[in-house]
Order: sequence, then structure tokens, then C-alpha cells
Amino acid sequence: MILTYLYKEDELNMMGDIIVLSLKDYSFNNGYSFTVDEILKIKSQTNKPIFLTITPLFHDDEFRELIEKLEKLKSLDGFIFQDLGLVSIFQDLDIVSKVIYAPETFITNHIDKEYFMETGINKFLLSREITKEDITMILKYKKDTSYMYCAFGYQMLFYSYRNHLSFFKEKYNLDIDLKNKLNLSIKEETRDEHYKVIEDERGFRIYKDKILNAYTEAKELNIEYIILDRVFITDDMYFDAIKLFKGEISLDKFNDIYKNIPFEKAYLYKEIGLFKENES
Amino acid sequence: MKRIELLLPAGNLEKLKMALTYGADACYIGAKEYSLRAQASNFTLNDIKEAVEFAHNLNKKVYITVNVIPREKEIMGILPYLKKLESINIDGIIVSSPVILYIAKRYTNLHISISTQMSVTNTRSVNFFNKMGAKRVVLARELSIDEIREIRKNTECELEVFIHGGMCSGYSGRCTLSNYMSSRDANRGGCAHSCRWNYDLYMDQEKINKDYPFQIASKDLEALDYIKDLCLMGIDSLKIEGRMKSLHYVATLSYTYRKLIDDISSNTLKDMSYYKNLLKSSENRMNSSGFFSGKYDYSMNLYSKMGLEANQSFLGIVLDYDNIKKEALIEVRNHFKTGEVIEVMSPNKDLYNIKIENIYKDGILVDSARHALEKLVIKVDKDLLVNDILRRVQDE
Repeated sequence: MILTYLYKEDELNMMGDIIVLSLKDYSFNNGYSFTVDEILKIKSQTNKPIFLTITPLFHDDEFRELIEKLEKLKSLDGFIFQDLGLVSIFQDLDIVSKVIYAPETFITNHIDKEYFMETGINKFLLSREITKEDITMILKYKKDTSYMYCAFGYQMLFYSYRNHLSFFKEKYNLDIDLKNKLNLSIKEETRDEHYKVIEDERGFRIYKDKILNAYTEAKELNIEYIILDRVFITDDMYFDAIKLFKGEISLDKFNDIYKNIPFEKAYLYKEIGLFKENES
Repeated sequence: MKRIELLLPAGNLEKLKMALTYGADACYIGAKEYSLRAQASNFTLNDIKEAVEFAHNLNKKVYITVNVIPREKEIMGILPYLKKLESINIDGIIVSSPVILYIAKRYTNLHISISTQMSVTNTRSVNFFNKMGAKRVVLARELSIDEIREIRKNTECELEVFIHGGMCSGYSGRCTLSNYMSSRDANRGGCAHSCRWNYDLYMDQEKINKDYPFQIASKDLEALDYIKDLCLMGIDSLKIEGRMKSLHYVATLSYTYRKLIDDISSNTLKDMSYYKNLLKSSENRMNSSGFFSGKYDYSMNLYSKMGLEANQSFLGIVLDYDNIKKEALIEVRNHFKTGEVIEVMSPNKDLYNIKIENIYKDGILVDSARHALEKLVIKVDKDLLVNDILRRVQDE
């Protein structure tokens, strides 16, 4: 199944099999998030499953309000999270069977899932750092587990509680608005690549300079949930990517439309080492 | 006040012995296998065995970091490795991967600590791991002292808090900057510290920073002002970062925080400037109190220069002492000369000064110590002990 992010209500007909929504103040705000009422309204307008992303790491004083919101939203079809503090809340709300643990970097082999089995969690986001070979092995032993893989979009590299853009603005007394901007990038002084950056109410994040397109691999691997990230992607490209993953346009056609875009394959074919090549 | 553990890092056996000798209650070390800081001189199993025996003889502890995020081809070796660690009687493991947690919980009786790589920022998360078999959680460095206090009130789990050393600029364990920019896996010990590099910031195509770089590097953590609170609220362990740091760093940090904790415990706390001054000689990066105050701004980041300053305070270490001749065999670390008054840091003693009366190299009188790591004999006016550290006198 293809999971796609909805940014505006009028995009409902252009989405994948599952619609993913961000919850205002409790999700990364990559430009678009919704209130509880807006989410319930969207749910009433579609028969497609709705998944909620609540992926930041939380502090104690945030849970009371979050629980109130989740109580109203527990009829949604899925909840994507990474803070394990939420597990007891999911258990209390009896929605554990609907959650996907999505820690970005921690699910890297086929035994990781065993740790969570007694909690009832059986859906996991695969690490963005592993190879196709690793994924093949994980899927081979998946038994009653479902996995999700992010097969399209700019991958996140860095997530900080520090507001690095605001700090920078304050340090140098800059008169410029840097919050919630989708047109910012950083370039390391000796490199050419521009890494996308954003700061929102949940902190500061750095993303890759290139867009992952693992359409071919996702199809070959037959992973149950394929999520297409949307942050920094133009609407046109996003909707074309949805068509690609749904099989409505061919890969050749997609590549032809975006022939000037250098897509990447993450670590699917390249294992990361510990040292530079000339280091022991 | 409950006895609080002072937990020091050790990159090798020599540093471990120094840390424990200078007042640490426990050390955490990385093994050659399954440990971050792949570039630290990690321990073999024989080294670990020796470390554990040394520590246990002093009634102290050794924890092993097993905090990599293993891939498929690495998982088969985990159980035999944990069993070997268990057989040599280590005091616990520090873990951040679900597979290692699962295997340790199911097949061993090891004391399990949840690594800061897991970025545990709330009570519910602490209790999750506690319920799932962890005895201790190392809290995320993004917490204020008030948040830590609330967590302490609401969990039975042992809590460990970082109080000193390098800080990740982002959430630990979630950062893959190094992986992408340097092809070095930060979560398997290869972090290239890409967060400490200089960047330019662009809005669309326009460069925003002018004659200064855009930076996201963190100053080091120094939480001296919060130790009393942490002791009184019942935190179980105070942790210092730095398995890659020097012998001098390990000894000085161990000495200073031991003194501070003991002074808090015996109600003889001195002005904080005393403890800050003790630490001064071991530091070569700028520091801040991190998130402890609950208010954070750009002052916790490093800008312009990376804040690195050459530190030449560490003059040497005593390898042997002849109390009849009043002569010490020392290993030199930085230049000093005859007639100089220097400072001695000795376990369980206050700092004191000595005068270098004579310096001998291979039995021949010389006027100064010039070369790092050379072994010299010095004649001094007071008694010294093996492992005493000789330092340049610090300015107040």
C-alpha cells in the first residue's frame, strides 16, 4: 500500500492508498499540519484509511494535551510514531494494533521486532540506512510483522531540539524570518551540495540534497507499506510520484519528466563504513 | 543523601585505572565489538577481564557499551559476545539497539542500561524501557533540571544523567549526517562530527551568512552548578562523556567531581569557583550548562572558531617515587624547567605545589623537560605518589 501526505483537502483524489496527516504542534511541520477538527473532517470525506504522524520526541508536559487529542482521533486507521513513551498511551486507548514504530534509524535487522512483540506493536519503519540485501533478509523472516519503507523523498539526516536557525539569527542580529521556511539550505564550505534545512516548533532538521526514488526496489521487495515523503517536493512532482508508485505512469515516463533531477538510491546498494578509505 | 555513582569514560586500561584511582565509582568502556567510538582504543575481552578485576578489587564497577545498531550480518555474534561479557562478571551493558536489548533480556542476566542514543526525554519512555527489562536509563541531554526532577519522582527506574563532556548537536542516535557526508556510520562508531564543520546558509540561491559561517556545533557540557540538585533528587549515576579523551582529562574530571560529590555529601561544599578552577586545566573546548537551566539560546552553540585551545597544563605523570632520595621518575607531557613551581594532583588529597629542584635525563642533569613521553627523574621538595599528576599552576 502506498502512503502519501495530504497537504490540502482538495488533494484527496490524488492521494495513494493511505492518507497521512500531520497533527498540528505534535508532528514535524513540514509546511502543512491539521487540527483535530480538520482531521476528523477529512476523515469524513474519504473512504481511504487515514494515518496520523506523531513523530517527534516528547517531553512530559506535552502528554496531557496530546492524550486529549488522541482520544478524539483514535478512530483513525494508523499512528506513526517514534517516541516509545507513547506506547502506554496507545495501550490505554486500545489502538496498539494500529501503530507503526518509526524511529528512522533503529530497525536494521529481522530480530529487532522481537523486542516489541510483547507490547503488541507489529508494524515498523525500516531504517533509511540499510541495504537492499538487509531488507530482503528482514522481509524473509517477517512472520506476522508488517514493515514500512520510505521509498521517495528527501531523507532526514539530522534532528535537533535546538533551534539552530533562530540561534544563528539571534547571534548575528539578522532581520530575517527563518522559521517554517521551505526554501533554506546549507552547504558545507568544502562541498558543493546544498542540504535542505527547516526549523519549526519541533526544532531543527537537515535533509539530503538529493531525492530518493526507490520505485524499482520497492516493487521488487514487495514491502507492505511504502511511504512517499513530501517535504521540499513540488506538488507536481509529488503527484507524479504517486502516479508512478500506483502504476499509473511508467518509470521511463517519470524519469523523462524529471530528467534534470539527480535522484538517489540511499544506502540500498552501498553499505556505510566506519572509516574513510585511507583510515585503518 | 543516597550514594550517587560517578561514572567516567575510559578509552583504554590505563585511563580506566586512573579514573577509578582518582575517584570514579565506575567506568564505562567500549569493546572491540559492538561499541560506538570505533576510533577509541577499545578493549579486548582480556582487557575487559583485567579492568573488571581491577575495579572489583576496589569495590567499583565496569559497564560495557554495546551501543551499535547492528545490521543483519552482525547479529549472529551478539549472543556469544554477551555471554562472554557475562562470564567475566561485568557490571552491566549500555545498549541502544532493539535486537541487543531483546537478546540481553531473554538470554542473559546482565544489568541493562538504555543508552543516550535512544534519546529518552520523558517519564513514559523511561517506564517503557524499565518495564521491558532495562534497570537503568541514560536520560537524553535535552532535558532541564526540572524535567529530570519530575522524571525522578515518577519512576522506580535507575536514572543516569550526563554532566560533562561533548554533546551531540542533534538528538543522539538519530543523526546520520556523518553517514551521508563522509560515508562513516555514526550509529556504528564512525561519527565524523559533521555537525562541527562550517556551513553557508542559503535562502533559495542567496547566501545569508556573510563573513562568518553558519554553524550548528555544540559547546561541551559542564553541569557543576547542577550536581547538588542531581544528588539531592536521587539520581543514580552522574556520567561524564569522553572515551576518546586524555589521561589527564579522565583524572582531572574524576578528581574534581569526586571532591564535589563528597563535599555535597558531607555538607562542606565550597564556592563553585573552586571546582571550576580544578577543571580548568583539562578543558580545551568552550562549555555551557546545556539544557539544564531550561532556557536555551545560541550561547550553548559554538560559533566562529571551534573554541579549541591548545592546553599545556598537563606536565607529567609520576611512574615511581624514591622517598629516600626524594626523586620521582616521571613521564613528560609538556615542557617545564628547573626552579618552576608546579601543582600536584593526587587522589584523595587537596592540590598542592612543589618546586622542581633538579631534572635528570639518564642520570645527567638537564635544565628542562622538553619532549613529550620522555622519562625523566625530578628531584622535588615534597613527597609524591605513583600516578600523581603534575600540572602547571592554574591562574585563579
